[in-house]
Amino acid sequence: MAEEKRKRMVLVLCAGELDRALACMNIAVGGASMGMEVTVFCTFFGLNAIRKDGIARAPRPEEEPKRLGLFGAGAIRRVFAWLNPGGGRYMNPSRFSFGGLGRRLMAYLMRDSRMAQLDELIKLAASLGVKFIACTTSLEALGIPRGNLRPEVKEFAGVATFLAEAIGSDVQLFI
Amino acid sequence: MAERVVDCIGLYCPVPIAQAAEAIREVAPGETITILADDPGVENDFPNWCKVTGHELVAMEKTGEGFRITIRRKRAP
Repeated sequence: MAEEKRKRMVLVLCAGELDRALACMNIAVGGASMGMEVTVFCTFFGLNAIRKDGIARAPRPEEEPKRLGLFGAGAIRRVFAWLNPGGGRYMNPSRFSFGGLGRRLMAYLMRDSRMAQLDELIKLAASLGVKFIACTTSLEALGIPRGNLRPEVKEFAGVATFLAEAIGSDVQLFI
Repeated sequence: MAERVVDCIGLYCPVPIAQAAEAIREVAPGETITILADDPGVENDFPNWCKVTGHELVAMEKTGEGFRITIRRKRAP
């Protein structure tokens, strides 16, 4: 395998739905298993897939630079952090969400059929060498601290890094 | 030498492929591994996995509980 150039794949996970995240990690594991170099670039609500389970600690008022309006965006970000918990256990499926019941039903069905859960797939992907990149702009805008991301996430970057990866890769998917 | 057997019974895509990819690295080129799996997808997945990775699909037998797949690690060029 050393003499031939390894095929490369770049996946963009932009959506925060459990089924999309599962499909993304499934393809990532499959690609890495087939000898491909795989990069998963997570942005916007796709970041939830690579966050630790639960609510992120939002920046305290004194840590938040006041930029807009009377109160700054900090108050909104704190409410937002509370409304937007991360991690596979808190991600809803795109259908049958049932106000949070849907994800529990889906986790139950997946366990029953012994399908891998999201965090297991992410660990497996990382062990196979899949590289996870978190979009720094989205992290900042959504108020997600870097410490809230899973330990598998080693890189933080923006669109130029994504494009540099994508331009030379053989497969690019936007999920 | 004991044959390397990967038991993926009850496990679904992409786990059998991932475990095979790990196992094949642990045997020498030219040696084989055996995968036991009952996910119906493996019937198409392993031939395609071999096509892309260059390993040889030696045998794929249907057994009572699923499939028994033998793969030979490709020799170093």
